[in-house]
Amino acid sequence: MSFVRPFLGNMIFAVRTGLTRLLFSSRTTSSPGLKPPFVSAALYNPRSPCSPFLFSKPTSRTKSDMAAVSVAKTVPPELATIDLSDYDPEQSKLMEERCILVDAQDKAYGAKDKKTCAHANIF
Amino acid sequence: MAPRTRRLVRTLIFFDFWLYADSLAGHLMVNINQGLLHRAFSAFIFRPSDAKLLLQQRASEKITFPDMWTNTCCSHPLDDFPIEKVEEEQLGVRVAASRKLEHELGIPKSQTPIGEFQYLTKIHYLAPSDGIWGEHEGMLETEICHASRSDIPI
Repeated sequence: MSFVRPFLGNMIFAVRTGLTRLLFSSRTTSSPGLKPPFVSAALYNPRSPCSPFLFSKPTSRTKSDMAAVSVAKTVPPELATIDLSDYDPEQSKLMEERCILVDAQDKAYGAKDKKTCAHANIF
Repeated sequence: MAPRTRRLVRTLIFFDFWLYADSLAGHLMVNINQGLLHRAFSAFIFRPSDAKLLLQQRASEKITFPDMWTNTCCSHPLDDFPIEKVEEEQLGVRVAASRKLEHELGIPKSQTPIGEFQYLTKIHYLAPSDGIWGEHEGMLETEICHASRSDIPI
């Protein structure tokens, strides 16, 4: 069984890394939208092996989680502050067309200009 | 470094990267869920005589994906036109495809009647463009193929 030992050692170390982050992180209850990328996502995912919610009921969703769910159906504000004057005028004009916002089942619930839709606001 | 220490360091780096990647994916999903997923279509025109697919190169002036080669025509059905919001039989998407094929490629609408589009499938599409622009937010894209017995004169 000697080939198992290194792997087992690695596993234990991985779990300890997660626990250390849990003990020293002060942001474990912040909104998912605000967390910086270096904070362990495993702590937020209830199904993650590092999650403090692993053995709790599914109803233990935090209030900020529920807020994120309710945001999903609201329409984001226009990104009017993005200046398109450096781009081709015809292409800028096309960015004012209004796309149909849909949920993951392709059901429409609103509309938003293409500029807002095409803006890569990941970070 | 002792082998054991080296192994621990390697594991730490790997695990940290794994958490980082997981966190990035979480960010992506949060933004998709914030309502920027929108309906799009992707149209393919094949020439029946030799079964070749018509490609297009996007204009250099395009804000998203300039100069890139792509399939025949991709765009969005618009909220601005009531008929393009009709979901039954993908009518809205078919009308939008016919409109954009004329606008982008100069193929008259009369040569792409909406009944000749064959619905293929729907895909959830995500892709980064350049800088702040992209389709990072996600599109629910309806794939349609123009199925005609005769060639479209181009």
